[in-house]
Amino acid sequence: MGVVSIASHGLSVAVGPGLLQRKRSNSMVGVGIIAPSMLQMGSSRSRKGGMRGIEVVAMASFEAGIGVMGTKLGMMTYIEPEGKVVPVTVVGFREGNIVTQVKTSATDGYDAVQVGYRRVRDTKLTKPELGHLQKTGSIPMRHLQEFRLQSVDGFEPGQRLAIEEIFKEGDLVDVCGNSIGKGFQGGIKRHNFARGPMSHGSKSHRQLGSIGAGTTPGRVYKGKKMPGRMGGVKTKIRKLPVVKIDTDLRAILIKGALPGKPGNLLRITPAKIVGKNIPKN
Amino acid sequence: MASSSLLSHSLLPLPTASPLFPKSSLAISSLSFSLNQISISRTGSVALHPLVRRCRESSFGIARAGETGEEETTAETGEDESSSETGGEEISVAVAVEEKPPKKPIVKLGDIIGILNKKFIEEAETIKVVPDIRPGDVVEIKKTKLNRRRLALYKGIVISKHSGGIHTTIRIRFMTSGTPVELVFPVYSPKIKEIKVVSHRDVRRAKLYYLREKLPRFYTFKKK
Repeated sequence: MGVVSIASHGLSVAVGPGLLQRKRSNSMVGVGIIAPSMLQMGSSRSRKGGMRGIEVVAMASFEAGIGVMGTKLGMMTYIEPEGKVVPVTVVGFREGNIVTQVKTSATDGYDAVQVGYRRVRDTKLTKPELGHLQKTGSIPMRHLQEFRLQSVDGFEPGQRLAIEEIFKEGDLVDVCGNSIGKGFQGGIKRHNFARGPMSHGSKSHRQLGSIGAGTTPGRVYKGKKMPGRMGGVKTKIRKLPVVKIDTDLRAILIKGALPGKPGNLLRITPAKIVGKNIPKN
Repeated sequence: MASSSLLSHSLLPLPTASPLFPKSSLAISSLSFSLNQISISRTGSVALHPLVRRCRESSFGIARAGETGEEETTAETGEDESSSETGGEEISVAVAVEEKPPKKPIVKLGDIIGILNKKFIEEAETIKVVPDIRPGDVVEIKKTKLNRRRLALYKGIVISKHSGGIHTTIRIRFMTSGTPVELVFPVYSPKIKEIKVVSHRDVRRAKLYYLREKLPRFYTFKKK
């Protein structure tokens, strides 16, 4: 008895004598007897726990507390009452930060709070997205992000998150955002390599130099730092103090610089500090 | 400014086909400004920016039939546009505006930094009065030093003023013990207890960096 190749993962199994082997195709054509061990093919992909009883492995790590989403507005100076001058980034908040879904281990396999941000016109969202938001009767929002927590008690769909309650002046926060894209960059900018001499007969100024040893190992190691695309990726800046919270303008002043340009979406969460509030898995 | 154009999307919800605002027959001639939602039709029913439309309907009542003169409507739309855009007043969605209390004007995200700067400057002004300083002024500054009871006194000529909201700084040049010194002071800092303009020298520049090449007598001042 033979088994025909199961095309979705490109697994091909030995075929018994006398059977024609079918060519691998991209359609899910499984003819023949499939051994029971073949069923468990997927790697740990998050799926609804209730569907097939497969154990779900959630990919995100725990947050230290519920966070919010904001918009980077720009930077300015803040002069403290004692006279110290502090560079701050101003983060504004559009209409949003409304809980759209609460996920629990019973229904989804993990505990998380899904929060929406930035109200948009109905026509800007797809019908599936709109339907998901209409389930809780919330406004159409562009961005949805989950905050995985230890316990989701006290959060209901439709709840508006108030910044003044979550953050206080002096709190430390972690800020995530897409960094500014720098394009294709060389080793010096991308990996802080050192330049070669600019004169004295040198022919190598900004090159990588050597990329490996000789005959042994006879190859370049994987992960060798080389030129490539830099920036434009998700970046997290940790342990930034909140300098001031302005409730009338709905703005937060956070010390230091944040990823991205003004207008960038930011995800602000309480800082995860070892020994203080990192939740144990 | 790039940031304000990015963030000019108003915080007000913009309904697409709200039953409260059917496309009524407003006889409005072609409008000079261009918005994405305008469609100018011959019959005269125009889909305006909801903010402008609401302003019209609430302030001027029912839409006019196509009998009013063109000039009148252009003048009024001109007024409407200016009042709705510059005033930034949020008119409630319901048609009966007079019943609801006046709401706060919406703050555009791009203006927040400007407003914060003004706020901080107002707070700093309550502590000390900051006079109007121009380059060429001879200025006396009293500043607290760390762990010192007595205030430090600096007297020199202002060679530049950098306007940066709360972090507006002035550069003072003077001579101490035979050494020329340039100091930068943030004008609104609480460490600076007093700024007094003593005299003024006529200059024809905003930045007096040429004094660095000049004789020291041009930036030497006697402290009394």
